[in-house]
Amino acid sequence: MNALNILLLEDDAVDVLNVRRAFQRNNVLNPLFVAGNGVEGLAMLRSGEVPTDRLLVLLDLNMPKMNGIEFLRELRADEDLRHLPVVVLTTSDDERDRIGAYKLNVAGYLLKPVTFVDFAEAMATINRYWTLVELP
Amino acid sequence: MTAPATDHPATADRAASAAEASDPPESEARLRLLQDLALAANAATVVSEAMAVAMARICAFGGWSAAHLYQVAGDDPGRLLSTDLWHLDDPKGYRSLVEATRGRVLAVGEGLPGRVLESGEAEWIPDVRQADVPRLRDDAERGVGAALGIPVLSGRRVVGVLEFFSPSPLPADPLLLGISRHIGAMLGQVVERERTHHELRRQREMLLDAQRIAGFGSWEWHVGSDRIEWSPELYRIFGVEPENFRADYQSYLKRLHPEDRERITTAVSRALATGEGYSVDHRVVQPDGAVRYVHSEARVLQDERGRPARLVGTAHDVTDRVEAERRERELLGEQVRRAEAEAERRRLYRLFMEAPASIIFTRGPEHVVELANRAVQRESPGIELAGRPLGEALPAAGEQGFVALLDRVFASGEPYVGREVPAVRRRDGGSQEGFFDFVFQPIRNAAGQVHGILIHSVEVTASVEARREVERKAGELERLAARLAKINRDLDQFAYIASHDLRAPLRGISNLSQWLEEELADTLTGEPRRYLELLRNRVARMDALINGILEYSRAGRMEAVPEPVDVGALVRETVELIDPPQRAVVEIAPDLPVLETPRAPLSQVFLNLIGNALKHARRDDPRVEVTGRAVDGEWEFSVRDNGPGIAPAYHAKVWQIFQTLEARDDVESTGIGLAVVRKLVEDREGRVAIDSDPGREPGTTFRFTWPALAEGLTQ
Repeated sequence: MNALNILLLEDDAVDVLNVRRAFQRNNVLNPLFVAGNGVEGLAMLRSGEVPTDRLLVLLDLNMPKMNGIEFLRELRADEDLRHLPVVVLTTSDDERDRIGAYKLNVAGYLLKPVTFVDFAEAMATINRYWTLVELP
Repeated sequence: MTAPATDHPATADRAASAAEASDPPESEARLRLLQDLALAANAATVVSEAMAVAMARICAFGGWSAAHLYQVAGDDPGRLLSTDLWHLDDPKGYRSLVEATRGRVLAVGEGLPGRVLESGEAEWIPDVRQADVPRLRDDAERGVGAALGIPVLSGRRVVGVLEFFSPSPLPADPLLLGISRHIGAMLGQVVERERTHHELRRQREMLLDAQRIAGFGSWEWHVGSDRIEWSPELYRIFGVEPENFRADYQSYLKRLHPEDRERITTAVSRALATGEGYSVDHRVVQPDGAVRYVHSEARVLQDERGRPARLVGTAHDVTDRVEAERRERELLGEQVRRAEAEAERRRLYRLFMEAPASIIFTRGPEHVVELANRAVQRESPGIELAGRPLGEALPAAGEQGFVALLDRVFASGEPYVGREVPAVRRRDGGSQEGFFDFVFQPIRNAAGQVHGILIHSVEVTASVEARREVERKAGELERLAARLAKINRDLDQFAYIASHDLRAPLRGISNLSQWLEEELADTLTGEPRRYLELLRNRVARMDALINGILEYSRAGRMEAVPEPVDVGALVRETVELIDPPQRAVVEIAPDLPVLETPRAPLSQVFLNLIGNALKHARRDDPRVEVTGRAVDGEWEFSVRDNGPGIAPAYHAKVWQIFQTLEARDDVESTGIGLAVVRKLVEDREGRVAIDSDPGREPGTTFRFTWPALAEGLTQ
């Protein structure tokens, strides 16, 4: 079984660092790809730089150029990418953001600061999802 | 003049004594004469009849051939008037005497009758030629030989003199003289009776005349009898004929006006009971329906034992007076009405002339101005309107289509009402636009045809402009309100976005400081460690402030769907959410209402107030009381604590955002809670208040009103 690939869309270096530190500290060895905004993320997905197989997209909402919601919209409109599971990371516990995200079919919603426990749970869930998808 | 006692003439006295000595046959004749005369006197209804019998019998008895009567004048007892009563055996022989006597008037003592009048006694002149009676001597020339005068007596008073004549001398007959006094008395009775009769009749006629003239009827009622005696005038007043009207009490009452009957029966009963009279004004209804106004008076006559015996009364027909009075009143009323109508007409004319609106009467299809009031004249100074067609006098009216409108009203008879019609008015060479309310009211003549139009117009330019201004301002206000709402939304959005964006770097700082602490855990000691602690502490405070802004901006966006909210239960849930410290007591009044209101905002208000009370208690046994009461259709809730209290100087400040009264290092507080409370309450037009004065007593009471429909009180 291949390890779960993770694409992190996050513009804040500290937040990226936060994820990396958590992975390091907890010996998580899953491949981690990082994109600074939605445009970059989409480019990485479409160019094949990031495998779209066994992938979890961790998505920050507040990003320059193309924010999280815009990225989601683009993703769900893309025939090849619409099935990718996305977990939203945000500082906002505002209802409007939450509802906006769920409308675009997200698998989870993690409020920053994200604890490693939350991460681990999200990753486990997505992993189960991919396992089910891969069943012959 | 003295009686001729010494001469031959014999007096009755002497004759009477002589008669007593006369023979029985002679006294028998005398008796028969007296009887005859008495019979005649009794039987006679008039004097002349009795006199005729007396004259004839006495002539026959005493051998006289003529007799004549003098009567004492009714108005002068000293004068005798010759009558036409004669008894003549030989009318031819006495023609001269009758002629001479006709119309003769004699004074006392004049002639034989005058002497008899004077003396009151009969006098016999046996031979006229030898008598000392001047007139008789004249009569002698007319064939008179002897004469006898017998007084006609009423008591002692002479009321007439009978004189008898004979052509030749005749010796005095003592028999006749002896009964002359009886004869005179008997005949006197007849005269007296007739006079009384005449007098009575005269008086009665006078009375009836008087009653008739005065419309004055009288009646008399013997109590107990069923008949009432009515005077003729009374019948007339009642409009009935004596022949076919039975005058009794019942038929009397029947003729009274129904409304007056009771008053009369009451008055009559009272009069009979008390013996006192009455005086009543009432109406009588005549058989033909005519109503007479009558003033009736009556009095009671009593019998010798003091019981009412008779009721006598008068009825005075005062209809003429009453009607005259009524006519006078009517006339007066008519005059007053006419004066009032005239005054009203003048008032209307003045109203018309002085009315602030322009009023014009036009006549005919050309709309010739009949009358224009002052407002019209003011509007069109110097223009002669009266007698000219409106379109000609005011060309502007024609140009603007008003004359065409008038034509239509005149032709159709339908009034035209125009509201706020724009019209251009020419004045002083310039023109001015204005708005007018018009009424063109067709005026019809008696036959119903339109013959004129009443034009009524009021300038409403000012009110139209004022209304447009108001509408403009209302629109402006609406735009302002919309803009304000948008600004508020933008502000909320701004607060949200700003707090969001502020948070990201803050979290970064928080993370970095934490990692520093972790990386340097072994080497970091003393001041640097404390600095890092302070750094993270400030980061936390910044985070709280940002949360406060978010909370505050969210307060304005809270969903506001009303639902029944049991405030008591809501407060209990809120307290559970706060999870108060061990020794804290939160007492919730049992009588909090159930309100129809959005739940979240009210919950937030209680959360903040109770949380605040517990946070700032500064003691380990805080006590909070939550109460509510209905005031003027809304609910006022109070949250009271036993904390240190807030000095009045800070009361205004605590409601402001980010204002805290304590150093944040002592009590971590953002100063957002009360600002949110105020925002939530005031957004609903409620009011917040603080009662606290630590100088007097500890503790603070926060009050707020919550406009909402109360469904009832909780148990």
